[in-house]
Amino acid sequence: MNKHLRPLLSACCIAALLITACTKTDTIAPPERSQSRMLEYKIVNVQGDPIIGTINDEDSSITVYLPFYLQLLTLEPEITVSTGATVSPASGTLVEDLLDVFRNGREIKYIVTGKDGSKKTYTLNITVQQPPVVLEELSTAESIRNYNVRSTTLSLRITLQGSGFSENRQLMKMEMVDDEGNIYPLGIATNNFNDTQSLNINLSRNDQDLFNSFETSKTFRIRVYNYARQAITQYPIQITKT
Amino acid sequence: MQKKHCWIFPLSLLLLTACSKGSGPNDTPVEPEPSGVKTGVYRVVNLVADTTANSSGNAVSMYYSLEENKVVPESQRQTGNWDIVFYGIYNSSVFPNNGAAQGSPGYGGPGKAQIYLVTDREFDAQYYDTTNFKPHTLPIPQSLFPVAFAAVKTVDESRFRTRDIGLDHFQGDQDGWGYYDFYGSLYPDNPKKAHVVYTMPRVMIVKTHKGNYAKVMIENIYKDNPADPDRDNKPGFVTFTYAINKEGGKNLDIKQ
Repeated sequence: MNKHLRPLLSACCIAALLITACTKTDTIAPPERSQSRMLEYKIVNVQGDPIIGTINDEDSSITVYLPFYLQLLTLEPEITVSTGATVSPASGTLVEDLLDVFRNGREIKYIVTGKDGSKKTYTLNITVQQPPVVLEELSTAESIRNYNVRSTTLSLRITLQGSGFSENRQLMKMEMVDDEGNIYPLGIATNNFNDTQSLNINLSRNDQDLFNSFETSKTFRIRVYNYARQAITQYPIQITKT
Repeated sequence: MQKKHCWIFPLSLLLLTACSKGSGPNDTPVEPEPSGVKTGVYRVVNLVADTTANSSGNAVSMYYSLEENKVVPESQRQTGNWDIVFYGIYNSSVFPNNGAAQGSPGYGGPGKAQIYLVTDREFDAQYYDTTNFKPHTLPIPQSLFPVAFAAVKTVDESRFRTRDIGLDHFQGDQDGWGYYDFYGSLYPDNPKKAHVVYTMPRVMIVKTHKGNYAKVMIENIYKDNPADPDRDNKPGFVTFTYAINKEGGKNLDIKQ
């Protein structure tokens, strides 16, 4: 009895599987997918695994999270699109000068053209995971700190404390901003950096535009950039020619 | 008895999976095109690096692809498109493109290149004081260069590093590819001989970003390859020879 039952049971099992396995064939077809979609966007010019971008078809955006420590100034994306579609700029085209993207808000867009001729434009958002730049105020709301500089020598060093600075000066930028919003870029050299919490602003005759912009005294605020972050002092300092 | 029906389970598994739809993009894998130069020996003459270079600061860096035998723009520093860079004062530090090496030019990028300098003190003794670390015969006989290059036939994997090879025993105790006579002490009576770099017949081994092996010998950093350079010679014109094995092996006994 047992001997005959087992193959029979097995046969039943298989039959049941066969019957159930392929029954649900009447699924409702999803709406036609656009033929101009971006399917994958990843940054490949890094060590190890690529950085995968998140593609949002709703708002046509690509979001890439960059860790600060990589200090990337260039991105090399590898892009996959719908079958038969093309993308411009093409996969592998470098995104250069990221500092310009961070500081001047240059837009990076990709146009995907499907084989049916439809087009979709994606915008790249870059989010950098980086601690903020924090500046310690030299002045207060009550008193503006004054620095005297001799008209004959025009040499002045201001030490600024804070956090979130970088020893890689390629990533840094400093400038003085007057009350009208005029910007005076400051040179950056190795001796500008004491450590990642202190930097020196060295003014000299080379900063002609700044010194020529006033007769006796003027107030400025100081702005510091590090990679994707920036900060400006809340209260100005005053420079007085003596 | 039990054994007899073991096949049922794999079979039912097969049946269950049989109808799963193959979804996802139908990527046809694209065969990477073979690119760059073939296995062989290449000589690069008077490659213009930074011709305004002087002894007081870093020169403009020059990024080079040994795989392609060409200069790569600075904007591609954090890519795998180059293998070595001529960096620093007089372009004298040769860094491999290594994205994991903090403080090196390729840091942050995908670079996997590595480098080391072959040292052969017996050979060096022909032109070099191996206890005081400076040339004893000047000009260094030019005939030694091809001999040194040909003598390197294979790769010692254990010696690779990710830092630069620079000037010989200059601000440190590292062996280098060239001797920098900072004070002109090799020619005390000739003021034109201070701050001169004498290239030595030494070979660097490079593992390229793509993983191929190459041997590189700098012949000169002065224009037109002078055997006995002085301050009148123009720096920033790099002449070097390299051999690359594109077949993946460690054999560097490559002739033309």
